[in-house]
Amino acid sequence: MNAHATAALSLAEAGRLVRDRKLSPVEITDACLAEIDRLEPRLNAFITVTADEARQTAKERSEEIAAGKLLGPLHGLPVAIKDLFDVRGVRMTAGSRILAENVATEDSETAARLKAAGAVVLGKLNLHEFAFGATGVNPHYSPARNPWDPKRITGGSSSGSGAAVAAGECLGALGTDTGGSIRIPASLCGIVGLKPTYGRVSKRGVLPLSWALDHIGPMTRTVEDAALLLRVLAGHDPGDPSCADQPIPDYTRSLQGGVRGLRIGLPHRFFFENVDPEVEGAVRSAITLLSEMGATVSEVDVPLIDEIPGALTAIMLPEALAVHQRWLNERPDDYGDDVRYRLELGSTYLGVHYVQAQRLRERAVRVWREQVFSQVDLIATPTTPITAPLIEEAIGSASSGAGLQVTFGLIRFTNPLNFLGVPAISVPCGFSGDGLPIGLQLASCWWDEETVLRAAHAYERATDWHKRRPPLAMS
Amino acid sequence: MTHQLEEARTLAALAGIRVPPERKAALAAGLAGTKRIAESLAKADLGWTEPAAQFRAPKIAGP
Repeated sequence: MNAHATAALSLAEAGRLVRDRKLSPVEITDACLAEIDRLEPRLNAFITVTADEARQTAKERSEEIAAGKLLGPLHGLPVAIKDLFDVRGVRMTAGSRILAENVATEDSETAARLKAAGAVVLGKLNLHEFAFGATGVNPHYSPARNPWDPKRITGGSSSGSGAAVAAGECLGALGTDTGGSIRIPASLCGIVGLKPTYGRVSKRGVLPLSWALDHIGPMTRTVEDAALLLRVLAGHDPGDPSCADQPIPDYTRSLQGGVRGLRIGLPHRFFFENVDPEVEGAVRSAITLLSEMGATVSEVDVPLIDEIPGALTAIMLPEALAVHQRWLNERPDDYGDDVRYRLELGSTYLGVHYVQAQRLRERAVRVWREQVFSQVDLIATPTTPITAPLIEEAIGSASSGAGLQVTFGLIRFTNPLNFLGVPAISVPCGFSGDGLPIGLQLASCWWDEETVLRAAHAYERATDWHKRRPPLAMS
Repeated sequence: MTHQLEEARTLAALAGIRVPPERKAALAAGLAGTKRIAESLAKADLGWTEPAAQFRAPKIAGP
């Protein structure tokens, strides 16, 4: 198997080959590093590549296999991490100039869990500055480029994660999601992105954007891989007050249930408004297929949906300003223009707005539990209303507002689910006429990642969208 | 616009950040969005719902 084919393996496939001693961690890691060398000049997915450390870890994992020892389900498998997570001894820039020289002294909880499960960390991935934006256009490190068309954005904020996984530079990646930052790049890059339930995965050691809305999750090429990574990442961490002590199912075991008997809700408004016709067509075709496979599809109300996006903004912007207040005063010119503007805008929200938004959140959770998730097991929507815009369309400034409009468009269908804190996945469901990926978003009740994964896996098995590779990766 | 500029200046000062003069027009323009959200939140029927974010008392070993 050549480097290109090796790096294109799924985590599950590569794991089986490693356990059967048909492929070594050194071979897979070298293959990914070769793809990084080949593709980075065109993709810019990584901010830091830790090649020497990765080769050393891969060598240790290979020696352990020879000695009959397996650390865990990711033994010897190369992954990469958004540059918002602390990885001990590695630079953590958050995509910013302000933290350009910052080196983490400890592992984030999630990086530690990946390492304990045997993973090989290849490096740190590009992102929207401080994860505060949905385009991935970064003035300090330049944007990660979409492997399906390098003139286009990947979406963000986990832009490098989307590009690197789609192009085959790594087998899987970690992202964060405050308003859609895992699912948007997953949709625009044609991969799988899972935002688990709020509190399912520890955020300790990850730079916050908004404490109340931040989520951490996997970005992979298959749903099975997302389940595999979530199994490693999920679990209570007393060091993160928002991390819940909930039972952790074996997500990979529950994948095979199919969709027969599942009740899928189709929002009767909002989530299909002002959608690109090609996106709507692909998503509706996916829902028809799920129905033909045995799911029951019915229209469902989406209560408080007009109030939720504004309330989310009234929480996110002041929290982000609170995180950045000191740096914003001490080093204002070191921020990119769009992030600086959003932070400044946080000053226009009063305490009463924040508290009312948090009250609305509590009410929305109760109403959705009573009126939505008592009626259906899942809701299905487009992940984004559009395919990947051109980079030049997404370059924003406080004065032009153009980039902000792209951002508002991208986050429209994802950010209500951050407000609710329910699990949501984006899975590839088609391509536009000009060859750009389209994502289907499935969301379920709190703590029920199993149903989201099971339905997404069944859909993936019935289609071949996930098998298509970006032309850039194949060239 | 002068009134909005003054509002933006006051809010930024109360929030403890310094916004240079050349950025105040953009911030003032953003106030319209904040006011729409504020009006929507003010109209919401929240009853006696408590905020989602709650203080957590520390766990202390019993006597």
